[in-house]
Amino acid sequence: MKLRVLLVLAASVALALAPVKVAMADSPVETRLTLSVPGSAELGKPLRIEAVLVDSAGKPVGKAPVGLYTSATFLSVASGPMEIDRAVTDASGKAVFEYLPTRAVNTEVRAEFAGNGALLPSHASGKFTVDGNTQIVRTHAGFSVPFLNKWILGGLLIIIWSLYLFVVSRVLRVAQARHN
Amino acid sequence: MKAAHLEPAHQFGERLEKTVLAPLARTGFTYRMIMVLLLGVVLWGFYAFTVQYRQGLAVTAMRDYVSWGLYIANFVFFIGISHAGTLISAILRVTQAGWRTPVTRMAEFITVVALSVGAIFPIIDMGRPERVLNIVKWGRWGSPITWDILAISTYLTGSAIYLFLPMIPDLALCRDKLKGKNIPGYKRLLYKVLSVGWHGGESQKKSLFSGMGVMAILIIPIAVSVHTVVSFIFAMTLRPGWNSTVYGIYFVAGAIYSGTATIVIVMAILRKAFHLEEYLTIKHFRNLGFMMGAFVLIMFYFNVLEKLVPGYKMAHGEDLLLNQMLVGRFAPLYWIYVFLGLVIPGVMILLPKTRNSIGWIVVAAVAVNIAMAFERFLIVVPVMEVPLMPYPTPSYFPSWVEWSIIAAAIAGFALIIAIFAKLFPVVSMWEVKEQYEELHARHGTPGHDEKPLPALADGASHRKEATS
Repeated sequence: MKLRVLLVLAASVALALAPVKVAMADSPVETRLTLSVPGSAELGKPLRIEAVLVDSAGKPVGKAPVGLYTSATFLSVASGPMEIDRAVTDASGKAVFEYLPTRAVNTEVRAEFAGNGALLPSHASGKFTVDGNTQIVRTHAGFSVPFLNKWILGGLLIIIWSLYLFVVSRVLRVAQARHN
Repeated sequence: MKAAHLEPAHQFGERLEKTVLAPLARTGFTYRMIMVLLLGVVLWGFYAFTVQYRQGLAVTAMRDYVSWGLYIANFVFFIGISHAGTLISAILRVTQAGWRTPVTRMAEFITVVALSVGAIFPIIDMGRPERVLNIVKWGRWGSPITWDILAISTYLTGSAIYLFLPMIPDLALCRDKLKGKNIPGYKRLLYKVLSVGWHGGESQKKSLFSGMGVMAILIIPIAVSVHTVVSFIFAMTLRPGWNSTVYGIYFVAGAIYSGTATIVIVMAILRKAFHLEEYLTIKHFRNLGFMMGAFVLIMFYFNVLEKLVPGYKMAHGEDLLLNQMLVGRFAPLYWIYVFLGLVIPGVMILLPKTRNSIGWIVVAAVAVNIAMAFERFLIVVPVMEVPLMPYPTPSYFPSWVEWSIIAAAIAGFALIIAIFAKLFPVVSMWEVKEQYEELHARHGTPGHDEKPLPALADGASHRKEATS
């Protein structure tokens, strides 16, 4: 009797463990993403940011798409992550991004691997400070015509207001001639 | 009519002075009541503005997508009617149109007042009026807003000078003729100071006329440039509808059109109120009516151009805009504009029966001004309602605050004109007298068969008929 109970228990454990073993063999593998950002950056100067993706065993994951995001506010009403670049990891698991800082503020970026059927998603964040006060957005006229510039407008205004002054001087003359 | 009917020049002059100066010396009950009513509307508008100032632009119907509404439409409207005066008066003066003399003063009044009222709207539209100083502090030469501020302030200054110069001899007349009358002390002081010691000496005339000559020529390009620059606020953008090369001249034409209509309305009111029937005759109304008739054709041409060219190319956004204007949400407003602004005045000027009636010409002028107010709204709002990004089409209808401020502006315009008319002579007496003297010298002797100058001759015959 005792032996029968033990046999049944052993069979149950064997049956219970057998499918688990099969399932574990098919489940996605965990991944780990590391992000390296410089401590500081200069306004308007392109910045190189690197992310490395490895699996749970520390093996580099190649050909995986990784996105780089920063948080943004749009029209003061909606805010959320804004994708600033996207890259695919190489054989060493490295993805390289380029980012142009446009505001001199403390910036936080976040790299994200969305995962796939075999690999679980992972993400990593990094912070850096952007310094500088250079004007980075400039509008450029298509072409410039010599002498056709703001001084023409200024010159016109000077002529008009000089003529006004001339007319006012006529009125003053009228006043001066009151006793003639 | 034979010139033998003309009375001696001094008699004409005395009657003219009596008629024109009479409203300056007395103020009736009706006038006071109208003032109170207008002031009430202005104060209500001021209250609405305080609400807007305290609570922000959220109390208007303007939002992120439609950020320009009734205020900017009325800015364009008032700057438009300001062309009534100085531009028309200067053109008539430079071309020596004889019939202009009784009209010019009112036209010049309208310019200065409409400009002052119109220029306030962009400041109201900002929500924070004190930020207008940022134009001075941070303004850039490349910005159409900077050009606008420069153009409007230059035009306002020029118009004020142009209004003042021909008024000097009349102010001297007020100073002298109203001396014994029971007028308040501030008016005496005003006439004394503003007449700058005028006594009509040769050297004074020489100085005054040279100044007037310069201003009459100078003010024409300035007036044209002002409304062109106003159009640049729209036309210098890449928005559908505004992205146009004809906007400058289209705005100038619309401005002269609504300006002429405004002169007709103001002339009719002052003619009735101040008994100026002898000086403002059917001739003046008919001539201004002809001017409106010419501008009906010009405006019609621009309307076709404005719809046909973008409609043929159908760039992105233009389809929605044209649809909204011609058959969609704004179609009723657009077709009312076409009917009131182009069809009605066109027919009225075309038919001899209506163009020879002051009443009908005034009706045409009122229709033109209502239509042009609609047109200014149609320039601004439908374009703002075309989304530049994939969002649902917004819908704008002005709030009570906006309506109240607009009502106050119209009432304020009428109020200032009414105050002006009680402070200053509304007809250029010395010019009318000079013209009559010239007419009399040429045609005043009995038996002379030449046809006299029509405008004053009409007035003279009007008086004869009235007294006989």
